[in-house]
Amino acid sequence: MTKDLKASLKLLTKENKKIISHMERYMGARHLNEVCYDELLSDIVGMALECQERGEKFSDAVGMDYELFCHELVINTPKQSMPEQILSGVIWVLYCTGLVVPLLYVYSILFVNFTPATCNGFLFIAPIAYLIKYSVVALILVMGRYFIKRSTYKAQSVVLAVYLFIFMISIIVVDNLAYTWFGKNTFEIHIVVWMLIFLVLSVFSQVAKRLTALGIAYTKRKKESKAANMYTQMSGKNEDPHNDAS
Amino acid sequence: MNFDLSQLMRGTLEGCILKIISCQTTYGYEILKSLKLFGFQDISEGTIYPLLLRLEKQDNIVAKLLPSPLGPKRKYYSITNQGLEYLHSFEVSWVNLSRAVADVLGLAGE
Repeated sequence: MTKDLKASLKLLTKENKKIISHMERYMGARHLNEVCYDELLSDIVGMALECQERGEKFSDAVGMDYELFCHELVINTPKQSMPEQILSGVIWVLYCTGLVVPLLYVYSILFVNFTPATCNGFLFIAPIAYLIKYSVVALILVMGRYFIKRSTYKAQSVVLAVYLFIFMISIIVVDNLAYTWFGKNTFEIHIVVWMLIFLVLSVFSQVAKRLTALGIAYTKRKKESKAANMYTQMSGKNEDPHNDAS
Repeated sequence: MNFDLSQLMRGTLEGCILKIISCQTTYGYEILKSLKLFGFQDISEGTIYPLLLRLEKQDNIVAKLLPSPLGPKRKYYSITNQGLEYLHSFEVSWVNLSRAVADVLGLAGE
């Protein structure tokens, strides 16, 4: 999210902020190109702010079912390319495994008697199954957040109940499978090295994802500007609307 | 049962929006005001904004972000050459269609 957009969001009324935050949740889980999504959000916020300035209700300006409005916007906005989608997946997996290990490390220091893991200075020794179990749990939590966002305009209590059910079943399945497959094999991790690797990989993936998104948005803009120039040259029209815009 | 106007309006509005943009570079709310002035009373920004995005995606119009006196930067739309061709094709289709519909509806009077 750009600085301008964040500043604009602060100017919204409580009611409009709520409407837009729901739209943001719904569209944020639709795999839209990151740059185009920011532009789209900025347009919607701009629309809401102009409504406020004119003393009109934003809900009246949207004028229809919010889900249908968002759906119409989503189908007309460029989607994430394959490299962007892969990088998004990598980022989530990195976050899950990267953050779970330090959390388990802290947990094993605080609750020595309640964990199969042990610590020797910065060295973290834990059963592989234990690490896999909690990485998968973290991934399911993240996926749950994604599915809840996707179903923003559906009955949230039903979505939450279904999600909690799937979550519980997944934990039981993962718990059993991880210990069956990996037994009591342990894994030693130097927590500082782990954190550094996680940091470098996540920064690299974030930058790569942003650059890919920018590349696609740049190609789109270049195409638009070429089309606009061609029209201006052909028609000899003045492109500056400020002379007659209110 | 009342006639569902939304389906009929959808395709028609796209052509009308394109016509307004072809006259001058303009922005969403101004397009809405023009449409209302011409008699499209039941439409809102929420109806035309997805259509503008669609026209932009199809390269029939291009958008440029320019400062606005109200709030953040505003998107101003201009028509492209492809848009002009699309508009011409819409105008021809509309004349033919409206003539055909008028003829069919006039059957009762003959």
